[in-house]
Amino acid sequence: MTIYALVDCNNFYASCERVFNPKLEGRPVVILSSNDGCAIARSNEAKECGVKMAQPLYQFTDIVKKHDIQVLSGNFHLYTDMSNRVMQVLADMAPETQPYSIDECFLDITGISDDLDEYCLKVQTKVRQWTGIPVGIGIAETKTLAKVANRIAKVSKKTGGVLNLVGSQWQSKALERTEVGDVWGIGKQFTKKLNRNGVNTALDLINQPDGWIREEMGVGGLKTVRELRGEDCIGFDSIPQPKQTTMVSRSFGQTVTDLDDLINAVSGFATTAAADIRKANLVSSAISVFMETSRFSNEPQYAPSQSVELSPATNNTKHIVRAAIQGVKEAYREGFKFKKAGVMLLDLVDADHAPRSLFDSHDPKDDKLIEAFDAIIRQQGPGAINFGTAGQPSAWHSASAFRSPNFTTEWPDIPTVKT
Amino acid sequence: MFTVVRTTTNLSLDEHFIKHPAGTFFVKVEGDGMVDHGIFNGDTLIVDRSLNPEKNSIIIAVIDGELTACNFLDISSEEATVWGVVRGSIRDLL
Repeated sequence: MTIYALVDCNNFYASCERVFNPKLEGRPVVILSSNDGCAIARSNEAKECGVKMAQPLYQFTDIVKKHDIQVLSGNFHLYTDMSNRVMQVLADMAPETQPYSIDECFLDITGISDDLDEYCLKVQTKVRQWTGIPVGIGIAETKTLAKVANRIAKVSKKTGGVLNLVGSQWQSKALERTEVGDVWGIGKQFTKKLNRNGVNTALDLINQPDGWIREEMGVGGLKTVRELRGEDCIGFDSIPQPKQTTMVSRSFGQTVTDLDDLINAVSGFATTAAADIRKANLVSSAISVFMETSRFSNEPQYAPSQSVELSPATNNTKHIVRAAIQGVKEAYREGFKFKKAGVMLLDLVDADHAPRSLFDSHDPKDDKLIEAFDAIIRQQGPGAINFGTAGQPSAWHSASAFRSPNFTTEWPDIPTVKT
Repeated sequence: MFTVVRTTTNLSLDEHFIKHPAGTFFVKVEGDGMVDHGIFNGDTLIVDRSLNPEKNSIIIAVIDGELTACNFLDISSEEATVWGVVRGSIRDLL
């Protein structure tokens, strides 16, 4: 049996900003998408003020004034760097980790001999001390239950941010407190259908007969329900895709040292990721490229990540691949044997709701090109066709008026301290 | 621990100064209040958040919402929280 812990950073973007600007502690904070279009992250205080997720700024300017909300432009260089730090602290502590999105990571803590609650409290304390980022941790026998536990750990003050559902009498209580729409892997469409049938909580859901679930929600839905019942169906190694980020990564059969080889690999990942988000009708505002050497060799180690902004938000393979290549070039250093690399598309929003700006360089010709591109990939599989990797990314203009400095990635931007 | 080490024979400043990369941050000093401790206006401080402050540690504290360099002895836990421990300082002489 595997024991999973899901570590999830609390209000991650807002927390990153607060580390370097402690005055924001306790104040409502809203982070905007690129071009300052709409809210992509909110502190708890901002949620209480009534700012909605993905709400365009012009719709809540009154609330901003009334509650003196701090409005910031998204700073993805800062967030990826802080994410990388959190993941490193976790990798040092847990036997195995699997970063799942920019602010979430699964740990396999099966082999931990300490009391699991105490162990996770230590993890929480260490991440907070080293990086300044507060995290909540859910512990359970399946990933889906770990998600349930994590959700409750974050909202319930009693838990102290850590909730362990392994062999716990709280398991059914936890399911009762979880609405079906909040269950990992159950989308809006199924939520409506379930509610219509009187299935409102996760507890209601696990008490439905398998046949009915398969009929209503398919094999994937049944898998989710079995996970909620405590049956491990996903496993540690596979990654169901999260909603707000999409990640494509791979371990290399042989280590890679050459920049061109890395560029080729990462272009391929970016192409796949772009196709994924196009299929879901999403656009992304930033791509993060990462690579790592083997943790288990005596060779010199290096695990950089580099984020590149996509402005305007896009799902265009050409732009995404260009940005990915720029990221690889910036992160790459000679002399290291890379074992793994990947890309993550961040800040995904519905393409129909994506903010367009005056500077939007949308070229209708691109749409035709991408359509043709997708058709070839559908017929012949990924890798059948790739965008040329030559050329520099164009200087996209971005209007991000309220962006914090790159506190951790640019020398002129490091924080100042008083004496 | 992940340590960034160069493969060339060059000495690595990272290796020398950054013992805990995930918890190490750089900050710039503003003001002359810490001159007695050898910290000058414009210095870059290496802050290691993984360390616990000792009696005489120079630390970065959060005082009135501001990051502030000070001696750990000089702060009280009611008015300040520890942000990180200063491991070293770098000064440009040109």
